[in-house]
Amino acid sequence: MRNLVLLAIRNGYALAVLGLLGFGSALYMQHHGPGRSAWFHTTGEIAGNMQDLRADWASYMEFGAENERLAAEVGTLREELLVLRGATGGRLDSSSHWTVMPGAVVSGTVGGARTLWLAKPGALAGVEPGMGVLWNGYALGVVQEVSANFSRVMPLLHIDGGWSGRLGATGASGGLSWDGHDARIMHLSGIPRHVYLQMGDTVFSTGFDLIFPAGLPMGVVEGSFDAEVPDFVDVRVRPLSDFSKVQHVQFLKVGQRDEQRQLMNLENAVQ
Amino acid sequence: MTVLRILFWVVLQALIFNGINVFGSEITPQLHLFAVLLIPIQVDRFVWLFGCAAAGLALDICTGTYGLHLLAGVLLGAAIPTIYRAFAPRDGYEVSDRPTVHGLGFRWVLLQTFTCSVVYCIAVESIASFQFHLLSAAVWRGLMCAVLTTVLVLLLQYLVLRSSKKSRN
Repeated sequence: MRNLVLLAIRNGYALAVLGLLGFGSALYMQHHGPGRSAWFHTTGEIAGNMQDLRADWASYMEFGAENERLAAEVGTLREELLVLRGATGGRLDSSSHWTVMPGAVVSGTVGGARTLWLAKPGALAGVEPGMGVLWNGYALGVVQEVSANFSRVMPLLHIDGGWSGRLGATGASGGLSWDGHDARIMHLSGIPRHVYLQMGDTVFSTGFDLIFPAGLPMGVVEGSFDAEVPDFVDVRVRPLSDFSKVQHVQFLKVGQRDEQRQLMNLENAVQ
Repeated sequence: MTVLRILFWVVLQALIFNGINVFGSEITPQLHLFAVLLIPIQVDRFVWLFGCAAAGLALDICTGTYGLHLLAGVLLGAAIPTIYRAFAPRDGYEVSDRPTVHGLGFRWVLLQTFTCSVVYCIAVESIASFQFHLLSAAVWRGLMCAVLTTVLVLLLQYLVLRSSKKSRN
């Protein structure tokens, strides 16, 4: 025991370096693993408030452009609302409708392979993990975890993200993902080779993941290349969201999502 | 005073500089290194290690990147004694030497800042990527970040610090 203590004293610096590296690694792994929520609950409010302050300054500088964009969006929405009211006679399908909640991104950068964004509001306003996030009508990401007033969002550009996309409104569907290299290109994999591809075609969400409703624009086709699996191609997709300009977002929640998820989990367990 | 200065620059980094993205929104200058690298040369290596780690942890808490800057700070704190030995003047450091352009001269500060920035920025980018196939892109981004950080830190040295002693060079 005495020798052990002497060894520790003699190599105190190396042990301190290793200890700090171990602590840092544990913190980082926890942040990227399933057990990260406790730490986010503890310190997320500090980071959230500071980044919120910074975002307020930044958005103040861009009031003009943002107002113009919002005005244009309101006009489009009003037009769509009128068309829908005309088509349905004012009735809505309340069993499967999507609830939309306004919010804002307070911190988020583009280009990092595992960059998570900080947004508001959080749990107190009803935001829950698994809710989809929209920007300007385009798919932006999914809520990963929440603190009281803030939420952490995984954007489409995250190498751990897996999304469900469809070529055109009724075309072939596949898995949409990002490889972490070029922020302008995502990949739609698992598309059969015989499918006719046209540059500029829109890739829509399928709704299978219960994060986004079906038919939400996600990106446009930029090209394709042979997949590792024979008879399939991978499609290069340019995301429609301009991730560097995101400020005001909408959180989405599908009605009866928990019931649908439970049923899917039950189905997987049976298989 | 040094602790307060570091805290001040960590908060500035979190509030302002983290929002600056240059070259296609991927390069962010790490300007809190300006305060970290002003820790006196003569302190014990434990002070470097724990000082850099604490600054990294504070930045992690302020920006929500838990563990990322702490790890990079520990690597920088462990590397700094070696970096300072490598760039030491022929007759060693004097007790009154300060790590500023007014103290040890432009060339020393340039080499020291760039080397430390390279260590820190490449560590941050590599850990953030956390994938082997993304390593080359991370190193490139780290180098760009280090160049930007070095230029800005040198500017700050002239703008913020007052000359209290003639340069040794």
